[in-house]
Amino acid sequence: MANFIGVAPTIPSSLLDSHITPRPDFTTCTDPSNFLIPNVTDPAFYCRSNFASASGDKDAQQVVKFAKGTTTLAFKFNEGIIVSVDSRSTMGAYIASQTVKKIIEINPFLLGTMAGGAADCSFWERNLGMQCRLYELRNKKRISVASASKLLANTMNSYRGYGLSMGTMVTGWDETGPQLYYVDNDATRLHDNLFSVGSGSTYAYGVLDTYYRPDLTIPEAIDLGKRAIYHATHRDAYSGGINNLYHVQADGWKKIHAIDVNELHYEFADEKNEMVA
Amino acid sequence: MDSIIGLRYNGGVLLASDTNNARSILVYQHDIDKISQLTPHAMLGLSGPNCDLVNFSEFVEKNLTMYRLKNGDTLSTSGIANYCRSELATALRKGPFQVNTLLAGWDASSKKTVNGTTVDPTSPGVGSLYYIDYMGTMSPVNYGCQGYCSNFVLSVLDREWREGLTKEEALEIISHCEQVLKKRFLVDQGVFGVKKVDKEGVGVVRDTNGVLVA
Amino acid sequence: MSILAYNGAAMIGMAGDNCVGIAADTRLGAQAQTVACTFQKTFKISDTIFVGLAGLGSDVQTLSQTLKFRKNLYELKEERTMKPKVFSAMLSTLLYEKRFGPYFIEPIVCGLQDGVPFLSGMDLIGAPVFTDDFVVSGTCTANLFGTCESLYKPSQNPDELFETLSQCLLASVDRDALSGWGGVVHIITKEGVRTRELKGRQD
Repeated sequence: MANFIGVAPTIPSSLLDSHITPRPDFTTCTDPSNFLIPNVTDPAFYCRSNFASASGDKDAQQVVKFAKGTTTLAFKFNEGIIVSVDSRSTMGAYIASQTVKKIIEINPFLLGTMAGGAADCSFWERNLGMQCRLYELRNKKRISVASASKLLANTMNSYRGYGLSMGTMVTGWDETGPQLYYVDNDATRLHDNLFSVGSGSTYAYGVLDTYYRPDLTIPEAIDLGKRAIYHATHRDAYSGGINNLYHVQADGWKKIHAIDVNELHYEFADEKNEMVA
Repeated sequence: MDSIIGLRYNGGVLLASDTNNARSILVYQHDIDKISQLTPHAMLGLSGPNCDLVNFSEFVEKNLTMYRLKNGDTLSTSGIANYCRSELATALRKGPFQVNTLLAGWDASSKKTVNGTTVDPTSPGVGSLYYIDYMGTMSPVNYGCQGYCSNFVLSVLDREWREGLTKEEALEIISHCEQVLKKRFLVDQGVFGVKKVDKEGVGVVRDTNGVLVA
Repeated sequence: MSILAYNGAAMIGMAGDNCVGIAADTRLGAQAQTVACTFQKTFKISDTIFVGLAGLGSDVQTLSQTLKFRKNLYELKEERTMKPKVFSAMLSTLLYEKRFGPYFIEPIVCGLQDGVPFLSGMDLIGAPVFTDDFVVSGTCTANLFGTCESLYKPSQNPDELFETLSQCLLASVDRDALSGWGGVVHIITKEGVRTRELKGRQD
């Protein structure tokens, strides 16, 4: 076991892979460049092979395992954006929690979702909230969703190869209207109308793609968001619990509901029975 | 990368499968038939390497024919399912058949039970569908799929399937599944062939070139 | 991932006052994917013996059929009914026969032997453990032990036993990703077997 050295202000450039850019120079207590780095020749390799919050069971050989497993989705439509998620957190097959809040309220106009390592997501999105607030104070105006997501992507880029695990959607309403971005731990940053992230995302996409239209009414969009999550939780062992759903509007986001997906199962089953009868 | 989708409807079962014959990064053929007829009223959709696919379906089909010649009657669908299961389970520990299958069949109402429920003797017969994987795990299902496609289309089937679908409604569900795969699945699945089994027996609904058969 | 956990399972056998019960979930999974919610994992061997097979789905089905076959053959040869203790020994032997290429099953046996509860559990190559309170198997044994240890009481009547088994199973599978999606409970008494299905969480 390698020792953790004290404060390492920056990684010596000799240890940086060519693709790892130096960290942003923050001057706050959560300065990411102040993380303790293992005192080994290749800290990135050491971290990703021992402390990676890998998806699936890729961390099976790892002594340390983190909470993960998720279905999250968000889509843009004419009346704004729907963000809908499950609430299960698993560590291996063990269900660590059924009541995780996977939608992170970055500020009254910005939402982030959580998929992948729970700690990685919550820390870096909290950190993003701080950066956005600093931007507001410095520039006397709210940050755009494009910029906010870019800040997160930049952070992810500076930790590439260290085994972070984060698949997030950053959404909000800014001067340009409703915006939806996908950012993950590879620093991929995408802009589109519809995303789903997590182990249950393929199931969610199945329902979402079949029924999505830009001209959905608000009740229709809410219904679609919760159905897609329900269907994912039913088939994916690592998704479940509660469906939390938010609607992003011009005057900020609004929390619509938090429903136990098990209640949805019987509600939808009854609907089908009525159709047959 | 094969996709097999099956669902029960009122009076029968539909099976759909992609028609690509691929190996490694190459697609050899775009019109192979992965749904083989086992008896006049049973068909097997298979996913796996071509050799296992052909070997297993022919092996089962010939043995079922032999059974009919010996006993003068064909096996019920549940009988065929149990036979396929036991062959796969036996093979598992001595060079397995790498095939994941969906078995669809139709039985006249006089035949016992379907999916665990007793069949109404006055009904016009019932279609049944079995999920059987390469290890020999068998489960009767109302709808199911084999292959990577299951990740995308099981939710669509969960959403849209209900008891008493018409054949047209069932076909509509299959086309929804195809649309999702076309949009989200990395591997192009090409056209889907569709077959049905009902009172009249196994028949082609859409051929391996994607042409609807009247 | 272990082959034993590929399909997912949770089951409990528990003794009561002149009765014994077995409870199991009904999920059939392929790792994270739930394939079916109606998979049978508990099997009636006779009016007084039930076996629960947790592990690889294919072996659950193969073993259940082999066990019924061997039990019938025994009864035809010996012209007497098989007792739970004998059945457990037979199962243990059957598993050890495949010592070097095992069935991926960790079974539990529940029965009434001359009116007295019989419980046993085994590993996948047939090492038996006999208990007189409860026995568990599957992908969430840690959870099952926790609930059973806290809810088990000696000498429960059939109704109480049903309640305890149901609560133990449902509470345990709600903390396991690989099992659940419904359950089934069989209560074995001298008068007969009572079977009830449980409505479990569907996520």
